[in-house]
Order: sequence, then structure tokens, then C-alpha cells
Amino acid sequence: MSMKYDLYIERNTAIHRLDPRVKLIGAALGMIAAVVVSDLLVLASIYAIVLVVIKLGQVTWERFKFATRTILPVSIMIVCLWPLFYRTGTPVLFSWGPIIITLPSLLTGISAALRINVMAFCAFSLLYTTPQGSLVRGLVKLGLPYEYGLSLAIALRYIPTFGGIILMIMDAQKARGLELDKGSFLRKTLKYVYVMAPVVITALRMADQLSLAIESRAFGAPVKRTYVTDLRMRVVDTIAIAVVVVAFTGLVLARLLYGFGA
Amino acid sequence: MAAEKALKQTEELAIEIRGLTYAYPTSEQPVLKDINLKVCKGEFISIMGPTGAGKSTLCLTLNGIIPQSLSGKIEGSVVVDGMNTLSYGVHVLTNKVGIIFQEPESQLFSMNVEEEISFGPENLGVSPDEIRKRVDWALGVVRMEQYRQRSPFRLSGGQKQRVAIAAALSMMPSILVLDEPTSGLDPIGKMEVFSVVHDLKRMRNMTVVMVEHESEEIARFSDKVVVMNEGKIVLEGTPREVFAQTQTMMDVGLSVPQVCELAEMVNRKFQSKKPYSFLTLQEAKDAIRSDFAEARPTSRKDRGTSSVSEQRRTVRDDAVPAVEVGDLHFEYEKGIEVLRGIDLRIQKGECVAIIGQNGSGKTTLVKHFNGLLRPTSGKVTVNGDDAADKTVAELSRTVGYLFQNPDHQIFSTSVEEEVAFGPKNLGISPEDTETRVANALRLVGLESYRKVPPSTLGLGQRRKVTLASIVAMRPEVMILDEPTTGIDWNGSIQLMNSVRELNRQGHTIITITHNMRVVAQYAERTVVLADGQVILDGPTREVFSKPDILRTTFLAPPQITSLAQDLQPMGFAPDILSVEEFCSSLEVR
Repeated sequence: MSMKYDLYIERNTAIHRLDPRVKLIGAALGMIAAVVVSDLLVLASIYAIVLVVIKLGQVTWERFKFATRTILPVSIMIVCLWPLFYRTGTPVLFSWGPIIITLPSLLTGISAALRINVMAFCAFSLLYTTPQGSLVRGLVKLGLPYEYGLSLAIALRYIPTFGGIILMIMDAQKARGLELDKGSFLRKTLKYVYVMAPVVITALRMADQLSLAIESRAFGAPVKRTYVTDLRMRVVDTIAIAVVVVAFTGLVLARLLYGFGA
Repeated sequence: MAAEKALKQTEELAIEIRGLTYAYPTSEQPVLKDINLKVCKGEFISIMGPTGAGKSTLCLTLNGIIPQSLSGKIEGSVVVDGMNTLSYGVHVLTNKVGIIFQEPESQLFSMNVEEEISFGPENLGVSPDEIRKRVDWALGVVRMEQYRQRSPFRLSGGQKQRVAIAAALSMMPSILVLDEPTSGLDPIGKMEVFSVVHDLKRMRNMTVVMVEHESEEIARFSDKVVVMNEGKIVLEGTPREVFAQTQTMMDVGLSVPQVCELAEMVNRKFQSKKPYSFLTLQEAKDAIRSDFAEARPTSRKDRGTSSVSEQRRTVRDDAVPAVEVGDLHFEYEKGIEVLRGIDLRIQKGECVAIIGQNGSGKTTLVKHFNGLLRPTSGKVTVNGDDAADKTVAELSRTVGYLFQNPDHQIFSTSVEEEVAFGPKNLGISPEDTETRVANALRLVGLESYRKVPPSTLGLGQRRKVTLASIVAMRPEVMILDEPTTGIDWNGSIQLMNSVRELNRQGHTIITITHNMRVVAQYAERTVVLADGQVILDGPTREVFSKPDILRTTFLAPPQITSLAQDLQPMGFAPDILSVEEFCSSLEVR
């Protein structure tokens, strides 16, 4: 039941074994690259690379579908809306009253959607193949203060807990005759007050207890904190980061100097 | 000499509290009043007390959280292992005192078990090699080696609490403080936690301070019992001394082991020259075997009517049942069956207990009765109508559901508004709602709390609010999911008496519980679930007289029933359910 809130998929692939810092930097550069270029073909190639990474990470078909489905509405909306507001160029593919769809506008729409997809899949491939603990460890190693890292880790850790609590509260209120899916949009939204109020109260209670527990385990002791699992870059990590950085720099330079992929 | 002796004594003290009075910063009223307590090294002391007695607050003074991070008005001193907690930071005290809280979910915040246990020593700057050694050791102590990489989220309650113990142990404390660590656990989980803590005391000479309600376990494991009420220590002594004070214990709203009640009753009945004091089942057994005659054969009528079953209304089998379930199967995920073919027929007006370990399918089963879950296959009828044809909202008119955690339903700023929520959803008129709210609040004894914000009440009271909010909807069938978990004996009795009253008014009651004394006292029929199947179903007396089958799923009848069963060769009926019944069949040799 809880599985659906968990993003990480446990496998032992080359992608999983990569240092989380490599994956963090790789994902970040991938996202930036998607913003820098706008050519459909170049974007499609980056998209293909990300898909290869996902394949290598043995991400299950179910999870891939989940990711696709999550961003599908946005993608469709972009593809449909873009040509409506950006109607220059020829040839005109379709026109009906004020609606004019031209080929360039359609292509720009598709590449804009593709760009969102590349960015989303960079994030998904990172989360699917990196345990949340290492992710946070990587961020801290890259310079994020430990307190923020811990907050992030706790936030990620409690997603399934709160997912469960919200479902339970919805059940509890439904059992008291509350019909969450009836009425106008506004009324439906207002009904969620009966769910969100207990969620907030429960969260506050838990946060209170959590702070006692964390403090009782010597958090904030004025000594230098140690880490049991230290991250160590292996040769393969260094090579991977080099490849990613070189590819990215090459792409950016090509874009700036020669207008490649513009 | 005297000075040397005094010095030696202070050396052996693990905890010394002197004249401790404390008030939270938000209130003038002290929560702890002039507490004096000495705990020797290696001692296992249990702290008992009703809700609001100040037990948890006392725990927080032992590792310096009070007053180091929760300030407030404090007088007196707390010394642990030679260090005054009022003057050392919490982090310094972590390798003296490890603390484990009641709620597993809000004290395990790491991604996996290993990280959880390393968290403390990492904060203290212990070297990674040493931490790894400590993690291995702590995992071994709590017997959780095979769960290293598991997310705490995916562990059972008992496993979570054991991880919490390991996480405290990795900071190498010599004192463990446990604040009701077993209150939310099923019988297996309770057993796991008790046995780990007991081993720590016995094999590693750990000093243990444990807040606990389970008097039978306390009798077995503690060296000393401290009873608190309204911020003061009201009783202190060995379990035998404390549990002999049955009257004082009852006055503060606590239960003692049933054999202790029996000793007291026997002493009164037979005016014993040498008063009995049983502490364990074995002691009671030995004394009765040697001093008493064969049991007086008694008819059911003579044995008193502690259970409703004797007054049970005769129900005709052909009547339309309140709830009927036929060959019910259910799976949350494909291929993993949680319910594996359940057949159950609950007549109108019955009072049924459903027992079994967590994960046996109890909650999953009853959620089918009000449509929160729908069968994967099989049929559920409510009042003769197929539940599949009705929405949860429609079913809520007939079936009320009291959730285990009251915080999962409470949203209002006043008790009366909270209770009126259900009737409003059902479209009841304002006047009628008003009557219903008044009646429901009277039933649970909360009339004077109408305007109070429910979230500020204690757990026992909050649960009464949620019970009232279900009662006001006047459903024919009421499902109660662990209604007495986490509240003291007195609170449990009050709540269950309200439930009994509802049953007398004709409501069908279905209660999920781990408390066998509640079952014996209140349920006329008991259904035992194990692994998604019904393994026993019948009158509570009959179910409890099959200890062998109960044992297969790690359940046991109440202590007094076990006593009668062990003494069955002497003629005691194996289905005795109360101390009074047992006592009435005793006769002096």
C-alpha cells in the first residue's frame, strides 16, 4: 500500500552505484542543457540520452509510466496552447476562424513540451536510482549545511507517513457522512478543510514529539559531526563526471559560438 | 564509617531526584510536585499513573530536555550517574541516559535502520569505525540484524520500538528511560519489547525506568514500582507491596494483575490469618493447590454476571443480520491476499470483539462493513442490503466507525461543533441535531466540555469526543477500532461502560481490541483472526477456553482465566472470566 509514495527503486546497476554527487550534477546539467537549446532534434537527442540512463538504471515499466503520466497533461497542454498564441510562419497547417496553426508554431510547441519532459525525466531518473539518504548526503557534501540536509531527509522520509495519514483521515471523515466528491468545485474544495485540519493538528503533534526525539539523540552537539558512510569518488565516478561536464560545455559552447541547436 | 557508607551509596545510585517541582512555561500549575526518587544502578523501575499524572514530564527531566530545551519553573535537583541534569546540556547526557518515546512513527526519522542507529553517535563525533561496531552491537541486542537496510516506515510496531531502543543504545547510555513504549503495540510487539528490555537489565546491568500500564508485565520484570497521581508519587515499593494496595490503585484509576485482585478478595472472604499476596500466576497456582479444596461446582448463574453474555437477548437465527460477510477475499496489491475467505454473521444487538495480531486483517475486515473497502471477491450485506450498492456516506447512516486515533477526525474548535458534524452531514434538522449532541455528550460524560476546543483535551477525553460524534449519528451498528489503546484503566472502563450502555439500547457493537480484560468484561462474542482467516468464533467464554488455539496466534486469555485453566484438575471451570467468579468457586480445605 505504501509503495506508491516511494520513488527509489532498489537495484544494483552501474547507475545506482554512481556517486550521488555525479548524479546530482548530471541531472542539474541535463536540465540546464534543456533550457539552453531549443532545436527539436537536439532536445530529442538529450531526451534519448536520459531515456538510456533510465533504461540502464532498470527503472520498471510501471514507474516509467507513472512518470510519463504525471507530466502528460502539462505536455499536451503546451503542445495545444503554444500554436494558439504563437501563430507566425508558414506553411499554415490548419485554420478555422481565429485559430491558425502553422508548422513552425507546432514544432516550437512540441519542443517546449519536450523540454519539460527532459527536465522532469532528469529529476525522475535521479530519484528512481538514488536512495534518498545518499541524495541528501550528496547535497551536504556539495556544500548544503547539514541542518538543511536533515530537514530535506526528514521531509522525504515522512512523505509516505503523511500519505497514509491523509488517506486515513479521509476515511475517518467519510465514515462520518462527509461526501468529498459531491457538490460544486468550490464546495468540494471547502470540504477538504475537514481533512486538512486534522492533518495539520496531527502534523504539529508529530513535529513536537519528533523534535524531542532528535534532540535526545544529541543533535546539535557542539562537536564536529562524523558520517558513517562517507562518499568516495571512484575512478568511474570521475570519468562519468568528466564526460558529463565535457558534453555539457561542448553543447553550450556550440550553442553560443555557432548557434548550434538554437 | 558512616561517611564511607554514604559515599558508597551515592556511587551506586543511577538516579537521584530531590524535591523536584516543575511547571511548563505555558502554565502556572506545576506538573510535578516535590518528587523524591532514588534508583540504584541496575534496577528496573516501572512508573504507573493515570493520564496526566506527570509521568512523561518526569521522563523528560531525566535526560535534561527539561529544563535545557523546555524551560519553565523548576525547583529541586535531578542527578543521573553523578551529573546534575539541570546544569549539563542534553547532548552531554545522551551517553548517560537513552530515552525511548511512545510513538514509534515520530522518533524514527531516518531512511533506514542503520542510519537511524548511527544518528546519535554521528552527532557526538564518534569515529566511523567505532560507530559501525556500535551499530552491529546494538542491532544484535535488539535482534534486528536482518533489517539493517529497511526503512523504519516498513517495520511492525514492535520492530520500530526495538530500533528506537538500538538508536538510544548506540550512544552507550547506562540508563534507559522508556515512556510507554508498548502502549500502541499488539501482543507480539509487546512481548518483543519487554524481552529486549529485560535482557538489557539482566545481562548488561542496564538501569531501566519504564512508564507502563501493563501490570502483569510489571509484576514479572520490575524491581520497583512507582505510582504517580496529579504530579506526586503516591505509592512506591516492590511490585508485591504496591499491587497489594488494590484500593489505592483503584482510586487512582489503575489496574493491578488479576491474581493480586484475587489475593485481596480471598483475604477478605476467608479472613485469612496469614494474608495471601500473589504476584504471579505461578504463586497463585501454588497457593491454591496447597491450601484450597477442590473447586465448588457452581452453575453459571452463581458465578455472577460480569459479562453481558448471560443477559444476552435471544436472537432468532432467521432474523436479518446486522452484518453478514460471505467468502470475503481482499487484496490491497495484486496477489497479496489480506483477507482469505471470511464468513461472518453478526446479529442485530450483538456485542462482538474481534481480536488478533496486527496484520491479521481485523481493520481490513471491518472497513468492508461501511464500504471504506470493497471486496476483491465475496459479499458483504448490511441490514440485508448489499453493501456494494451503497456509498460510504449512505452506509454511514447505518454503520458508525470510531477510528483508533481521535486526532484523525477532530477538526473543530469546540466539542459540540465536532459532535454535530456527523448529524449535519446526514441532513438532520438543527433542533434534532441539538438533542442528539446533548444526548451523546451525556452518554460519554462530557456535558461540561461543550465549548472546549477538543484538541486541547487529553487522549482519553478526545476519544470520548469522537465516540460521541459517532453516537450522535445514531448508527445501528458501531465499529470501534482499538477504543482503549493508550488510555488508562479507569478511562478504558468509563469508555467501555458508555459502549455497553449503547449496546443495551440496542446498538450492535463490533470492537477491535488487544485488551483481553476488556474482551472478557464486555464482549459476549469473540472472533479471532489470524492471517486473514477466522480461526475461532463463538461466545467469549468458549473462545477463551481454547488456549491452545489462541496460542497459535500468540494470544492468551486473561490471567484469571489462565489460572482457572491451569487448575482445571482441581475442578475449576476453564471458562471463568472474572476474579469474582473464580473467588466464588474457592473453598478452604
